[in-house]
Amino acid sequence: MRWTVRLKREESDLEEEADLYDDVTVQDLVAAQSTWRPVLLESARALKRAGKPIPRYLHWDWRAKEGALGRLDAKFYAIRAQGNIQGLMKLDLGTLHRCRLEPQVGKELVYVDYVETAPWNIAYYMHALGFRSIYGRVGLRLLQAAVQCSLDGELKGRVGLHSLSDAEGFYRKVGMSESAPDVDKQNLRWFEFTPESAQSCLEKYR
Amino acid sequence: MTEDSRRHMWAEVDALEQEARGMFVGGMLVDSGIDVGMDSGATSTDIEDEHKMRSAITRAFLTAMGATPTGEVRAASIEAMRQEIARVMHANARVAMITARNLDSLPEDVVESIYDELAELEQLV
Repeated sequence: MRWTVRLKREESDLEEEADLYDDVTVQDLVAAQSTWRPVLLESARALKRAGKPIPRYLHWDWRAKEGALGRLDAKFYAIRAQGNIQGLMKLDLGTLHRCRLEPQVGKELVYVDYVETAPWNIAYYMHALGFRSIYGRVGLRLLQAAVQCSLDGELKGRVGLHSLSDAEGFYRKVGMSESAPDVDKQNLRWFEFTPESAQSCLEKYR
Repeated sequence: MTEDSRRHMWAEVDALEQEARGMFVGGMLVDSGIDVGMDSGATSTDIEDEHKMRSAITRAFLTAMGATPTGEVRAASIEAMRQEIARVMHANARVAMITARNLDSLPEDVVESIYDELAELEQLV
């Protein structure tokens, strides 16, 4: 399926429409990897020279997840604008992860396994290269897609994830509830949407 | 909601999304055995080893996509160029031979020319 979402064009501060879709193909993963990686590496080199932090998970390869494309318990989403993939997300629809927070402990949810936006949408990376970032709100639109997927699956918007430390403020801001760091996941903090907070996120950030 | 409060609401969430630096969750990373920490010392050598695309090509690609330069990268003065060149020389023996001569004694137009050449050789930008 395909939907239209609105991203923020950083240069003009105006919203632009983009395509969100869930029929992600191997070609999409390859395209993302081949266009994102050189920019990310180039930026990382610049950051390294400047003595600024770079993520250790820089070497993530979306192509390694090609095998999950056809699985019934996984779902991929992509956002495309101006012919380029602006963000990718993988959801886990299996029963491995359940709600952890009251009052919905043990209930089924949609687990956000991975979300990444194109490096040219990240000011930190682009500034290192001497450019402004291009689009904002890619991560937000993907998270909202996860909520919609949960609603469509009659899970009432319940979504859970393990946040990277730099993203924790973002999840708090959009209304997710949190628990203590998960020692089984390198101490990443667990966040989840309740039906109410999920609905609020969709309505507030239209 | 007033226009001001709406703008403030978006500014807050936009800023926090930027703080996430493009990667938002770590579940699959951890399951794949990847360390989700930040390299605060920026000491990874893999970055250099894996680099295959020239800087100029990357910049051309970004420009073609509509990315606008911030103008923050190019050194602002001849002295800043000298310092930047010296830093690159120190870090890269391969190109150090280019300026075996004393940088301070080089005319300004030569400094600028060397700077641009190094930039083109992806040593600076």
